[in-house]
Amino acid sequence: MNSLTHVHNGEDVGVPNQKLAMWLFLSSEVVFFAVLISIYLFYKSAFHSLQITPSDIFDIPFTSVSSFILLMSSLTMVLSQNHYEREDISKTRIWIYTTGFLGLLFISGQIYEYTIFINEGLTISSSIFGTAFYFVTGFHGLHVFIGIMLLFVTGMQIHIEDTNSKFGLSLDSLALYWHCVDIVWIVIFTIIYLIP
Amino acid sequence: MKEIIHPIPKDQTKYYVNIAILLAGITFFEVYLYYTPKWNIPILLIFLSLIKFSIVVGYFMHLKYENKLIKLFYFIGFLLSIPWLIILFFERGLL
Repeated sequence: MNSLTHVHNGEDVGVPNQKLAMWLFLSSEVVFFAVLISIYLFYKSAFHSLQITPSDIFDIPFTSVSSFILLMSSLTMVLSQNHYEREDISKTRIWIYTTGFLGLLFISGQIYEYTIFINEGLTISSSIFGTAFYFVTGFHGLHVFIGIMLLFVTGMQIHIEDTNSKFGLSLDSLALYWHCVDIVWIVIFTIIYLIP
Repeated sequence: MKEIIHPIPKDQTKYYVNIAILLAGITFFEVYLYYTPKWNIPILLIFLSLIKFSIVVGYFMHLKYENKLIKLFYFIGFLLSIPWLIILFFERGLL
């Protein structure tokens, strides 16, 4: 074989290209959120125009339950992968839909939380703090929403004949995306809600 | 000629549920720290969230079983994030 000949088996570096691309994409997502969180930290104390402080309006027990729901959605996602590997399609579909449902619960909680905050006077334009807060949590919510759409589409697409490596790779990529959304929330929950 | 038998992967439900219980336990502990002024220390909360972060990446995202190249990406990012967090927190007076 000529030394210049390339082997196009999709695993030139020992990892399927789709998976490597997904990891690189997620790395860029993590950097994106790191920048947003840094901006939030810089403007964390800029709520002087408000009559209240963030700790007055944050409902920690409620957000903790939301965080727990998102953590559990990572569990259901990994269970769907495990059942897919075991070629148990019906359970794979059930766990995919459960993950989507938990994501919907999380988003509903976030919308409810936003409604309360807006009624309390914390809007996107009320202070720089408000802008930074809604940017970080809003972009995260948008990622969760995209993930939910992908989960329901994947749940509808999965069939018995789909137990092939290509579909498995797509499911793996979706799972990576969903877990990434979860790890970003782990950091957001601590930095925005728990640190005084 | 030898017949190739592909083993069916084990049902790992219990294994993953145990990891989820650990994650839920850490979250509960973080909330407990939030309500305990003496222990509501930013660096401790950050440390706990990094543990949760690593558990999800290692076990749920299967980094533990991944190729060395992907592990290298993760560890470089992780190592770079620690000084970044320390500098940012120090600068904002949170440390």
